[in-house]
Amino acid sequence: MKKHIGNALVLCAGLFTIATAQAHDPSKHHGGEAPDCEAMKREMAGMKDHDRMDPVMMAMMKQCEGEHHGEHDGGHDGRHHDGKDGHHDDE
Amino acid sequence: MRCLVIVASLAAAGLVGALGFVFSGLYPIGADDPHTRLTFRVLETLRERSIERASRAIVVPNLDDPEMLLSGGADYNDMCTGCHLKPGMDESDLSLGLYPAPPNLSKRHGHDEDPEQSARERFWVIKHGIKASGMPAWGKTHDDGRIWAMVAFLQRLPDLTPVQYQILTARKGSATP
Repeated sequence: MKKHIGNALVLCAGLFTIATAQAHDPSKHHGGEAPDCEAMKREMAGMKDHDRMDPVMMAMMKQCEGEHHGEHDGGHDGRHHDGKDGHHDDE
Repeated sequence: MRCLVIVASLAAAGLVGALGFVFSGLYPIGADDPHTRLTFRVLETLRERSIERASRAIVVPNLDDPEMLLSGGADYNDMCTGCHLKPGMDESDLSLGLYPAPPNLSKRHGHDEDPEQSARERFWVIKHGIKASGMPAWGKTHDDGRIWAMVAFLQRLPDLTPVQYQILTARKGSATP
């Protein structure tokens, strides 16, 4: 009996850990709209190469490029930089 | 000696008066009843000085990585717009109801003049939150990399058009445009 209770507790702790680890996973964010890549193409028309090197424009191109690939591989999520980045923050 | 007694008596009377005020419940604590100008200024100074001191030693990474803008943009859109708004959005129930009012981060503010210091302070505020303001400590659930990505996005946000904002903040695999 004690063993069953122990197993149940371990199982609960395991499930809680998994739920906690996934609760803030970007893939758990739902809804929202797909990027309006047609609008980006219109915005980029007539733009000089120099302007396309701006980080915002590069990010937009990357977003739409990824969206194009996403149509073939079912999409992907969870892009973000891993864990601690080695920069100490405070105190 | 007599002078010391007078000072001690005044201090004791002040302490008793302050405690009496606290326990009386007379202070209007409702968010729809603003602080007096003096109280507001004191609390604002306390907050700004505390953030400035606490964030002083933070090392700012390169924030120009397009991948950071995409990651930070999606998180900002999901977690922050309700209070801090976005291009084309001037108010929300939360931005109107919270006190002190959360800053509209889609507009440029005076303290953005030093981008490095602004980045440090934003990182610290996102990570640790601010007491009694409605700003949560996102560091309890989000790692440093993800918070820096939000800071990178915030640095660009005031210059984004609604179309640019929409593209940068969309999550992969989202439904329709």
